[in-house]
Amino acid sequence: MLTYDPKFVAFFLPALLAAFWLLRNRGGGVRIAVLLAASALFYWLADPRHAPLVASLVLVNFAAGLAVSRAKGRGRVWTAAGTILLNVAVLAAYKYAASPADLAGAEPAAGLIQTGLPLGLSFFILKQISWIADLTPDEVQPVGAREMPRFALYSIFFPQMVAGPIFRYRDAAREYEALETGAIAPASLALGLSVFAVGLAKKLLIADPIGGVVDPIYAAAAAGHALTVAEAWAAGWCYLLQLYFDFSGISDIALGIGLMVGLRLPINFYSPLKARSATEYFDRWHMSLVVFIRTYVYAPLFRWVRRHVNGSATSRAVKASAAATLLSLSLFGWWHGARPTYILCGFVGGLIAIAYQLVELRWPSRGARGPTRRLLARVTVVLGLVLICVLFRSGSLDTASAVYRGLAGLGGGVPGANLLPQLGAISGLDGILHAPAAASGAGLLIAALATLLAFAAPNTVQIFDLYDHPGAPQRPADGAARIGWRMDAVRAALIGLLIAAALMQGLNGDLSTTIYARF
Amino acid sequence: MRAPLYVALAVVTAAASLGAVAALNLAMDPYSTAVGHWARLRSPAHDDVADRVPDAGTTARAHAVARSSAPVLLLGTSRTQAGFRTDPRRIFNAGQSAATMDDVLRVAEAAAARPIPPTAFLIELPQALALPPARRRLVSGGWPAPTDRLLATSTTHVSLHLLGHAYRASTDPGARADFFLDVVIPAGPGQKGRVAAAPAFVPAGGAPRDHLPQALARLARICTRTGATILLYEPPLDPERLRNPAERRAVQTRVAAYRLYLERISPPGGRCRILLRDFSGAAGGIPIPEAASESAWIYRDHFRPAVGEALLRSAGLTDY
Repeated sequence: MLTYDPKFVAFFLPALLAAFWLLRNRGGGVRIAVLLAASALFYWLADPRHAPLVASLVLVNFAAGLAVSRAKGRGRVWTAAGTILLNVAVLAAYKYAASPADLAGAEPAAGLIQTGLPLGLSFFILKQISWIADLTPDEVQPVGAREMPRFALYSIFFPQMVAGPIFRYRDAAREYEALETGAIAPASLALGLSVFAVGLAKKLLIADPIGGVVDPIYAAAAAGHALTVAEAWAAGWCYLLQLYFDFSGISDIALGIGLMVGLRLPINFYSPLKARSATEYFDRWHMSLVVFIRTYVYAPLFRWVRRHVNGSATSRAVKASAAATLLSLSLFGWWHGARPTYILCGFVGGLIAIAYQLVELRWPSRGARGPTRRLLARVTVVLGLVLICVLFRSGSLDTASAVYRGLAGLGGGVPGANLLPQLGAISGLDGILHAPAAASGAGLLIAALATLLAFAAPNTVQIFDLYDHPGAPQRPADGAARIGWRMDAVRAALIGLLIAAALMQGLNGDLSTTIYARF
Repeated sequence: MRAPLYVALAVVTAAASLGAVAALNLAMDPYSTAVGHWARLRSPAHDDVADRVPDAGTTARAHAVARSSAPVLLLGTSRTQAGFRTDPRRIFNAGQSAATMDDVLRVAEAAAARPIPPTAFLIELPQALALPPARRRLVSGGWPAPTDRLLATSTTHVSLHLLGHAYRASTDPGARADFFLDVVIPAGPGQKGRVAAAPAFVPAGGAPRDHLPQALARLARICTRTGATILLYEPPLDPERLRNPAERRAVQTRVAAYRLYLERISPPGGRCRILLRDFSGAAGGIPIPEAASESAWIYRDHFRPAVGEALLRSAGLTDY
């Protein structure tokens, strides 16, 4: 069971909300206890095999956190480093030792690329690292055993277990304290329900049908078929949309559930496809991970390299920035898993980011540019994303190479999969009933709509005015979005319809997994 | 608007929408004929079994056949479904993708129970007789509950289609009655060979053979009860498969197995007859010349309606 499963929406979530809102005035401890029990139950229902491992890691990390916060001087640093290494070792063991098929370049099965990986392990481990790292500075006050329930909830709060967002402990501590001590207004429930509905719709009504276009084309490429130019571009573009709407939908679902119980989770997406440079893109895509990497990887690396290279101050800063960027983004690739395509994806992403940095250094944009240059900048970013996403989606370098050949119109002599005409042809009822191809014309139509939404529509933060959440960008001077949210009957009905439509789509049989569920 | 009212209104709207959709589906498509087909767009493993799920296609067809008054009933797999374009008021095409002999018999029994049963059954020899119990349990276990089926988008698609059809039928008395049996199988080079083999099914003519006598005994009871002519036939083979000795041998083995067991069952009395014909094109059978060209085939195993028409002529069913 994941957070977009109809069973979760129809039973688990209402039961949790009923219990939480009935007991919310019994004290902060009760609030934490209800959410902790729900999170433990959720994890148990979703992934009982790995529940003992996760529980053990929570206990070990809490104990290590106590030790770190009480140790002095180098002992503090060594204890922290040892605990962080232990967490990284657990993640590496599951990511690398447990997935030899990935190393062999096997094709992923419906997005579930590492069958043996505990639910959300990568996100969970990053939170544990953040907990230890944020307790390491000497000025941090020691934590006590009474922090345990709060830390346990921070570690396994169920909406975040699926696919983040990643909460840095220093931000989370404030929010969890507010959860325990603050008043929770019913407006938060209404706002959370609305954000949740939008996330559900993004995932089930947009991302999943688009997956019906992407999957057969990549499967055909993996099976050795030559792709036509149209098929390759359809697959490349649709996968970028699928990834965005899937991941941001899951993030919105988490945000919505958090709000419904009075907890503000970090913002993870802010219209990334509207970015005009690589730097801006990283300020908008998977923002909680980028903040984590900047805080715990990039910044220390940058400082270390700058101290150890020669040259002028500017030259040392440029070299340090390039080295830290390349290493950070390479780590980002390694974090995703043991597939060569992930690793290459991180490395290439790093090179592109450095190139952008150098271009910006040589030809600074100096604020507003003309419409043509702005358009060109956007197109460049989107094209780069499509090309990188091909690597990210492909199960092997051979598959990626086949798609790249298709993009360049170099399909080769092997007969084409000839899928695209069928995608258009089977949009009717007969197609739904009898189409043998694993795709639907509806997916193409939804991809067109999703393109409009991604480029022209306001995002969740703008619509629901979530600028007070951790990690959110600064509220723009021109105020809220034109399609702003407020509590009225029309919007309530729309939210109800969205939930109903998403549930109906989710009841069609096999639920797809989210792309990041087993990371 | 106050927050509790907003939340209540959203929840009531969602519940009312789901209720309305469930009511529509219950009225228009109570058997959820399309359920799972949307899901199969994503899962090749599911695709393999989607059509074979008990009580999806079979019950719906049994239901439709029982309401029909057509004197001739065509039964069989997707080959029958796709290969015959007939007037359903006279010849009702109840072909079902990947139907087993068990599925065919259930639909035939529903037709036999009509006040005026069909006078002729044309039954394509299914290559599979029944789902093994373990496989059936597996398939049923992974299938959504009835409440899920009634709310699925795919079911609603069909319901809306049927709603439109009901409107058309009310304004045009000649509109087709077997609406959900219409099929368009896309042709194309990528499609060839897409039909999944079903090695886990009990093959006709293979072990365990006790399925076949049981099936034919059920058929004999239908024959006795209705007094109808039952024509079991092996459908035409496409030229490519006909050139393959192993394919020809498989057809001949199947036909021989049916012939052997038909001879063993006690001959039905009265006007009823059970006949066996081999239209596959293999030696010893009745060739259908229209099936010999590549253009007569739209899909592996699936012949075009022109071939079906020739087959009906050859079977003497043109008078209907």
